[in-house]
Amino acid sequence: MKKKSWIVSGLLGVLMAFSVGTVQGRDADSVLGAVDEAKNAVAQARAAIKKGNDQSVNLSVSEDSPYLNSVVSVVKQGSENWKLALAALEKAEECEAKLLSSSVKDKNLELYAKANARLAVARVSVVEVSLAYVEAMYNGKTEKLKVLEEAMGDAVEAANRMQATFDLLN
Amino acid sequence: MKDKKLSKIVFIAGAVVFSALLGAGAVDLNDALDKMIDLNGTGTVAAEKVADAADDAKSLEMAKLVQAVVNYEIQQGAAALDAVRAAIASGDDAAAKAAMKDLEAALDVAQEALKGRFPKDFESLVERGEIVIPPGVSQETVIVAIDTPVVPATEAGGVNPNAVPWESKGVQSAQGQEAGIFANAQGLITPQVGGQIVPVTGI
Repeated sequence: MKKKSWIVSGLLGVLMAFSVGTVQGRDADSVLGAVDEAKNAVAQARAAIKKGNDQSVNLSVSEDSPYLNSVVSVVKQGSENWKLALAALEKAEECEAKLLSSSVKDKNLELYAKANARLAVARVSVVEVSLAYVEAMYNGKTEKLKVLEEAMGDAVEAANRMQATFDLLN
Repeated sequence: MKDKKLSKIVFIAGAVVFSALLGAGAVDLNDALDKMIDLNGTGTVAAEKVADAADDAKSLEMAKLVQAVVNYEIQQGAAALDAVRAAIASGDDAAAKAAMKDLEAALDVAQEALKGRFPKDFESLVERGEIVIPPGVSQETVIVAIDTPVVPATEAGGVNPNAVPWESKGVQSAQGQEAGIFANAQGLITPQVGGQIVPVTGI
Protein backbone atom coordinates (compact mmCIF):
# COMPACT_ATOMS: atom_id res chain seq x y z
CA MET A 1 0.00 0.00 0.00
CA LYS A 2 1.41 3.29 -1.07
CA LYS A 3 1.74 5.71 1.78
CA LYS A 4 3.07 9.16 1.50
CA SER A 5 4.19 11.16 4.44
CA TRP A 6 3.78 14.84 4.63
CA ILE A 7 6.64 16.50 6.34
CA VAL A 8 6.30 19.79 8.04
CA SER A 9 9.75 20.98 8.92
CA GLY A 10 10.98 23.40 11.45
CA LEU A 11 7.71 24.72 12.70
CA LEU A 12 8.10 24.02 16.35
CA GLY A 13 9.13 26.49 18.91
CA VAL A 14 6.04 27.56 20.65
CA LEU A 15 7.41 26.20 23.88
CA MET A 16 9.07 29.51 24.37
CA ALA A 17 7.06 32.41 25.66
CA PHE A 18 5.33 33.59 22.56
CA SER A 19 2.77 36.16 23.50
CA VAL A 20 3.48 39.68 22.40
CA GLY A 21 5.18 41.33 25.32
CA THR A 22 4.79 44.81 26.58
CA VAL A 23 6.65 47.39 24.63
CA GLN A 24 9.55 48.87 26.49
CA GLY A 25 10.14 52.58 26.32
CA ARG A 26 7.40 53.68 23.95
CA ASP A 27 3.69 53.78 24.63
CA ALA A 28 2.07 50.80 22.91
CA ASP A 29 -0.87 52.98 21.82
CA SER A 30 1.40 55.47 20.08
CA VAL A 31 2.51 55.11 16.48
CA LEU A 32 6.09 54.25 17.35
CA GLY A 33 4.90 51.99 20.15
CA ALA A 34 2.76 50.11 17.64
CA VAL A 35 5.79 49.67 15.39
CA ASP A 36 7.80 48.39 18.36
CA GLU A 37 5.04 45.94 19.16
CA ALA A 38 5.09 44.66 15.58
CA LYS A 39 8.88 44.29 15.64
CA ASN A 40 8.61 42.41 18.91
CA ALA A 41 5.92 40.08 17.60
CA VAL A 42 7.83 39.32 14.40
CA ALA A 43 11.08 38.80 16.32
CA GLN A 44 9.44 36.31 18.64
CA ALA A 45 7.85 34.43 15.78
CA ARG A 46 11.18 34.37 13.95
CA ALA A 47 12.87 33.00 17.07
CA ALA A 48 10.21 30.33 17.46
CA ILE A 49 10.60 29.22 13.84
CA LYS A 50 14.40 29.27 14.15
CA LYS A 51 14.23 27.19 17.30
CA GLY A 52 12.16 24.60 15.46
CA ASN A 53 14.65 24.59 12.61
CA ASP A 54 17.65 24.33 14.95
CA GLN A 55 16.11 21.36 16.69
CA SER A 56 15.35 19.76 13.31
CA VAL A 57 11.84 19.14 14.43
CA ASN A 58 9.89 17.35 11.75
CA LEU A 59 6.25 16.55 11.92
CA SER A 60 5.17 13.56 9.87
CA VAL A 61 1.52 13.16 9.07
CA SER A 62 0.48 10.06 7.20
CA GLU A 63 -1.72 10.36 4.16
CA ASP A 64 -4.60 8.59 5.84
CA SER A 65 -4.47 10.75 8.95
CA PRO A 66 -7.77 12.51 9.69
CA TYR A 67 -5.69 15.60 10.45
CA LEU A 68 -3.83 15.73 7.17
CA ASN A 69 -6.03 18.32 5.46
CA SER A 70 -6.09 20.51 8.54
CA VAL A 71 -2.33 20.37 9.01
CA VAL A 72 -1.68 21.25 5.37
CA SER A 73 -4.20 24.09 5.50
CA VAL A 74 -2.91 25.49 8.80
CA VAL A 75 0.73 25.38 7.73
CA LYS A 76 -0.08 26.94 4.38
CA GLN A 77 -1.96 29.79 6.03
CA GLY A 78 0.83 30.23 8.55
CA SER A 79 3.38 30.45 5.76
CA GLU A 80 1.34 32.93 3.72
CA ASN A 81 0.69 35.14 6.72
CA TRP A 82 4.34 35.06 7.71
CA LYS A 83 5.28 36.60 4.36
CA LEU A 84 2.52 39.18 4.70
CA ALA A 85 3.65 40.00 8.26
CA LEU A 86 7.20 40.61 7.12
CA ALA A 87 6.03 42.82 4.25
CA ALA A 88 3.80 44.87 6.57
CA LEU A 89 6.57 45.25 9.13
CA GLU A 90 8.98 46.40 6.43
CA LYS A 91 6.56 49.15 5.40
CA ALA A 92 5.96 50.12 9.02
CA GLU A 93 9.71 50.42 9.58
CA GLU A 94 10.10 52.52 6.43
CA CYS A 95 7.45 54.89 7.75
CA GLU A 96 9.09 54.90 11.18
CA ALA A 97 12.42 55.92 9.65
CA LYS A 98 10.75 58.79 7.77
CA LEU A 99 8.90 59.92 10.88
CA LEU A 100 12.05 59.88 12.98
CA SER A 101 14.06 61.79 10.41
CA SER A 102 11.47 64.51 9.96
CA SER A 103 10.76 67.39 12.27
CA VAL A 104 7.36 67.96 10.71
CA LYS A 105 4.40 65.98 12.00
CA ASP A 106 2.81 63.96 9.21
CA LYS A 107 -0.51 62.51 10.35
CA ASN A 108 -1.01 60.48 7.19
CA LEU A 109 2.40 58.88 7.51
CA GLU A 110 1.75 58.16 11.18
CA LEU A 111 -1.52 56.46 10.35
CA TYR A 112 0.10 54.44 7.58
CA ALA A 113 2.88 53.34 9.95
CA LYS A 114 0.42 52.34 12.64
CA ALA A 115 -1.84 50.51 10.19
CA ASN A 116 1.07 48.49 8.81
CA ALA A 117 2.29 47.71 12.32
CA ARG A 118 -1.13 46.52 13.46
CA LEU A 119 -1.48 44.50 10.27
CA ALA A 120 1.88 42.84 10.90
CA VAL A 121 0.80 41.87 14.41
CA ALA A 122 -2.48 40.46 13.09
CA ARG A 123 -0.60 38.38 10.51
CA VAL A 124 1.88 37.17 13.13
CA SER A 125 -1.07 36.10 15.25
CA VAL A 126 -2.06 33.66 12.49
CA VAL A 127 1.53 32.36 12.40
CA GLU A 128 1.47 31.98 16.18
CA VAL A 129 -1.66 29.82 16.10
CA SER A 130 -0.28 27.71 13.25
CA LEU A 131 2.86 27.08 15.31
CA ALA A 132 0.75 26.13 18.31
CA TYR A 133 -1.21 23.73 16.10
CA VAL A 134 1.95 22.06 14.80
CA GLU A 135 3.33 21.84 18.31
CA ALA A 136 0.15 20.21 19.61
CA MET A 137 0.20 17.78 16.68
CA TYR A 138 3.86 16.97 17.29
CA ASN A 139 3.22 16.30 20.97
CA GLY A 140 0.18 14.17 20.23
CA LYS A 141 -2.15 16.58 21.99
CA THR A 142 -4.94 16.01 19.51
CA GLU A 143 -7.55 17.14 22.01
CA LYS A 144 -6.27 20.70 21.50
CA LEU A 145 -6.49 20.64 17.72
CA LYS A 146 -10.18 21.51 17.43
CA VAL A 147 -9.77 24.60 19.61
CA LEU A 148 -6.67 25.63 17.71
CA GLU A 149 -8.43 25.14 14.37
CA GLU A 150 -11.17 27.47 15.57
CA ALA A 151 -8.57 29.91 16.86
CA MET A 152 -6.87 29.74 13.49
CA GLY A 153 -10.13 30.70 11.78
CA ASP A 154 -10.60 33.54 14.26
CA ALA A 155 -7.05 34.80 13.74
CA VAL A 156 -7.41 34.70 9.96
CA GLU A 157 -10.73 36.52 10.19
CA ALA A 158 -9.20 39.16 12.47
CA ALA A 159 -6.29 39.63 10.06
CA ASN A 160 -8.65 39.92 7.11
CA ARG A 161 -10.72 42.53 8.91
CA MET A 162 -7.54 44.46 9.62
CA GLN A 163 -6.55 44.19 5.97
CA ALA A 164 -9.99 45.47 4.87
CA THR A 165 -9.64 48.54 7.08
CA PHE A 166 -6.07 49.01 5.92
CA ASP A 167 -7.25 48.96 2.30
CA LEU A 168 -9.48 51.94 3.03
CA LEU A 169 -6.32 54.00 3.53
CA ASN A 170 -5.17 53.50 -0.03
CA MET B 1 -7.39 94.97 -13.28
CA LYS B 2 -7.10 96.13 -9.68
CA ASP B 3 -10.65 94.91 -8.94
CA LYS B 4 -9.88 91.55 -10.39
CA LYS B 5 -6.81 91.20 -8.18
CA LEU B 6 -8.75 92.29 -5.12
CA SER B 7 -11.55 89.83 -5.76
CA LYS B 8 -9.00 87.07 -6.07
CA ILE B 9 -7.52 87.98 -2.66
CA VAL B 10 -11.00 88.10 -1.12
CA PHE B 11 -11.79 84.72 -2.63
CA ILE B 12 -8.63 83.16 -1.22
CA ALA B 13 -9.25 84.73 2.20
CA GLY B 14 -12.83 83.44 2.12
CA ALA B 15 -11.61 79.95 1.28
CA VAL B 16 -9.12 80.04 4.16
CA VAL B 17 -11.81 81.13 6.64
CA PHE B 18 -14.22 78.53 5.31
CA SER B 19 -11.59 75.80 5.59
CA ALA B 20 -10.80 76.89 9.12
CA LEU B 21 -14.47 76.72 10.06
CA LEU B 22 -14.77 73.29 8.51
CA GLY B 23 -11.62 72.16 10.24
CA ALA B 24 -12.75 73.35 13.65
CA GLY B 25 -14.08 70.21 15.26
CA ALA B 26 -14.84 68.50 11.98
CA VAL B 27 -14.43 64.73 11.92
CA ASP B 28 -11.34 63.55 10.12
CA LEU B 29 -11.75 60.26 8.25
CA ASN B 30 -8.17 59.33 9.11
CA ASP B 31 -8.96 59.66 12.80
CA ALA B 32 -11.90 57.31 12.30
CA LEU B 33 -9.70 54.84 10.43
CA ASP B 34 -7.13 55.11 13.20
CA LYS B 35 -9.78 54.11 15.75
CA MET B 36 -10.99 51.27 13.54
CA ILE B 37 -7.46 49.92 13.15
CA ASP B 38 -7.10 49.89 16.94
CA LEU B 39 -10.51 48.25 17.24
CA ASN B 40 -9.50 45.55 14.77
CA GLY B 41 -6.38 45.10 16.87
CA THR B 42 -8.57 44.04 19.78
CA GLY B 43 -9.89 41.26 17.53
CA THR B 44 -6.32 40.04 17.01
CA VAL B 45 -5.69 39.98 20.75
CA ALA B 46 -9.01 38.23 21.44
CA ALA B 47 -8.15 35.47 18.95
CA GLU B 48 -4.74 35.06 20.62
CA LYS B 49 -6.39 34.75 24.01
CA VAL B 50 -8.60 31.93 22.73
CA ALA B 51 -5.56 30.08 21.36
CA ASP B 52 -3.62 30.65 24.59
CA ALA B 53 -6.47 29.23 26.65
CA ALA B 54 -6.65 25.98 24.69
CA ASP B 55 -5.27 24.01 27.66
CA ASP B 56 -7.76 25.14 30.25
CA ALA B 57 -11.48 24.59 29.76
CA LYS B 58 -12.66 27.38 32.04
CA SER B 59 -10.20 29.94 30.72
CA LEU B 60 -11.19 28.92 27.21
CA GLU B 61 -14.86 29.56 27.91
CA MET B 62 -14.09 32.99 29.29
CA ALA B 63 -11.76 33.80 26.39
CA LYS B 64 -14.51 32.84 23.93
CA LEU B 65 -16.95 35.03 25.75
CA VAL B 66 -14.54 37.95 25.67
CA GLN B 67 -14.02 37.32 21.98
CA ALA B 68 -17.79 37.36 21.39
CA VAL B 69 -18.00 40.79 23.02
CA VAL B 70 -15.00 42.07 21.08
CA ASN B 71 -16.37 40.78 17.76
CA TYR B 72 -19.72 42.40 18.48
CA GLU B 73 -18.01 45.72 19.18
CA ILE B 74 -15.96 45.38 15.99
CA GLN B 75 -19.22 44.99 14.06
CA GLN B 76 -20.61 48.04 15.80
CA GLY B 77 -17.42 49.93 15.05
CA ALA B 78 -17.46 48.94 11.40
CA ALA B 79 -21.04 50.19 11.08
CA ALA B 80 -20.03 53.42 12.80
CA LEU B 81 -17.08 53.83 10.43
CA ASP B 82 -19.41 53.44 7.45
CA ALA B 83 -21.66 56.07 8.99
CA VAL B 84 -18.70 58.42 9.50
CA ARG B 85 -17.65 58.04 5.88
CA ALA B 86 -21.19 58.60 4.61
CA ALA B 87 -21.68 61.64 6.83
CA ILE B 88 -18.38 63.20 5.75
CA ALA B 89 -19.26 62.57 2.10
CA SER B 90 -22.61 64.27 2.55
CA GLY B 91 -21.15 67.11 4.61
CA ASP B 92 -23.25 66.29 7.67
CA ASP B 93 -20.78 67.15 10.39
CA ALA B 94 -23.17 66.51 13.27
CA ALA B 95 -23.88 63.00 12.02
CA ALA B 96 -20.17 62.40 11.50
CA LYS B 97 -19.43 63.44 15.08
CA ALA B 98 -22.20 61.21 16.42
CA ALA B 99 -20.94 58.23 14.42
CA MET B 100 -17.38 58.94 15.56
CA LYS B 101 -18.56 58.80 19.17
CA ASP B 102 -20.14 55.42 18.46
CA LEU B 103 -16.86 54.21 17.01
CA GLU B 104 -14.91 55.44 20.02
CA ALA B 105 -17.41 53.80 22.36
CA ALA B 106 -17.04 50.49 20.52
CA LEU B 107 -13.26 50.71 20.89
CA ASP B 108 -13.53 51.49 24.60
CA VAL B 109 -15.86 48.58 25.29
CA ALA B 110 -13.72 46.15 23.27
CA GLN B 111 -10.57 47.23 25.12
CA GLU B 112 -12.34 46.84 28.45
CA ALA B 113 -13.53 43.37 27.43
CA LEU B 114 -9.93 42.34 26.81
CA LYS B 115 -9.23 43.30 30.43
CA GLY B 116 -12.08 41.09 31.57
CA ARG B 117 -14.64 43.81 32.07
CA PHE B 118 -17.88 43.00 30.35
CA PRO B 119 -20.16 45.76 29.12
CA LYS B 120 -22.87 46.91 31.49
CA ASP B 121 -25.58 45.93 29.02
CA PHE B 122 -24.01 42.54 28.34
CA GLU B 123 -26.98 40.64 29.72
CA SER B 124 -29.51 42.48 27.59
CA LEU B 125 -27.31 42.16 24.52
CA VAL B 126 -27.27 38.40 25.08
CA GLU B 127 -31.01 38.31 25.71
CA ARG B 128 -31.67 40.20 22.50
CA GLY B 129 -29.38 37.83 20.62
CA GLU B 130 -27.05 40.61 19.56
CA ILE B 131 -24.16 38.86 21.25
CA VAL B 132 -24.36 35.16 20.52
CA ILE B 133 -22.89 32.92 23.18
CA PRO B 134 -20.25 30.77 21.45
CA PRO B 135 -20.73 26.98 21.40
CA GLY B 136 -19.12 25.29 24.37
CA VAL B 137 -19.55 28.23 26.72
CA SER B 138 -21.57 27.11 29.71
CA GLN B 139 -24.40 29.01 31.29
CA GLU B 140 -22.30 29.17 34.45
CA THR B 141 -19.58 31.15 32.68
CA VAL B 142 -22.16 33.49 31.17
CA ILE B 143 -23.61 34.10 34.62
CA VAL B 144 -20.14 34.80 35.97
CA ALA B 145 -19.61 37.35 33.22
CA ILE B 146 -22.94 39.00 33.97
CA ASP B 147 -22.93 38.87 37.75
CA THR B 148 -19.41 38.96 39.03
CA PRO B 149 -16.87 41.71 38.99
CA VAL B 150 -14.17 40.17 36.85
CA VAL B 151 -11.44 42.77 37.06
CA PRO B 152 -7.87 43.07 35.89
CA ALA B 153 -5.30 41.76 38.35
CA THR B 154 -3.57 45.09 38.70
CA GLU B 155 -6.69 46.65 40.16
CA ALA B 156 -7.34 44.01 42.78
CA GLY B 157 -4.88 44.69 45.51
CA GLY B 158 -1.70 43.85 43.72
CA VAL B 159 -2.40 40.17 43.10
CA ASN B 160 0.30 38.75 40.89
CA PRO B 161 -1.47 37.20 37.89
CA ASN B 162 1.51 34.95 37.20
CA ALA B 163 1.61 33.47 40.67
CA VAL B 164 -1.75 31.73 40.28
CA PRO B 165 -2.54 32.33 43.91
CA TRP B 166 -5.51 31.52 46.05
CA GLU B 167 -5.89 34.54 48.25
CA SER B 168 -8.80 35.27 50.46
CA LYS B 169 -10.07 38.77 49.96
CA GLY B 170 -12.94 38.49 52.36
CA VAL B 171 -15.53 38.17 49.65
CA GLN B 172 -18.45 35.83 49.90
CA SER B 173 -20.36 33.77 47.42
CA ALA B 174 -24.11 34.08 47.11
CA GLN B 175 -24.32 31.10 49.45
CA GLY B 176 -22.26 32.89 52.09
CA GLN B 177 -19.08 30.90 51.55
CA GLU B 178 -15.77 32.65 51.58
CA ALA B 179 -14.43 32.87 48.05
CA GLY B 180 -10.83 32.64 46.96
CA ILE B 181 -9.51 34.92 44.29
CA PHE B 182 -7.92 33.13 41.42
CA ALA B 183 -5.81 34.96 38.90
CA ASN B 184 -5.29 33.06 35.69
CA ALA B 185 -2.59 33.37 33.08
CA GLN B 186 -4.54 36.04 31.24
CA GLY B 187 -4.48 38.20 34.32
CA LEU B 188 -8.20 37.87 34.90
CA ILE B 189 -9.31 37.44 38.44
CA THR B 190 -12.26 35.26 39.16
CA PRO B 191 -13.78 34.49 42.52
CA GLN B 192 -13.93 30.78 43.21
CA VAL B 193 -15.20 28.46 45.91
CA GLY B 194 -13.84 24.93 45.94
CA GLY B 195 -12.44 25.32 42.46
CA GLN B 196 -15.72 26.50 41.00
CA ILE B 197 -16.19 30.01 39.68
CA VAL B 198 -19.03 31.62 41.59
CA PRO B 199 -20.89 34.89 41.65
CA VAL B 200 -19.87 36.79 44.75
CA THR B 201 -20.47 39.98 46.60
CA GLY B 202 -17.98 42.14 48.43
CA ILE B 203 -15.35 43.01 45.85
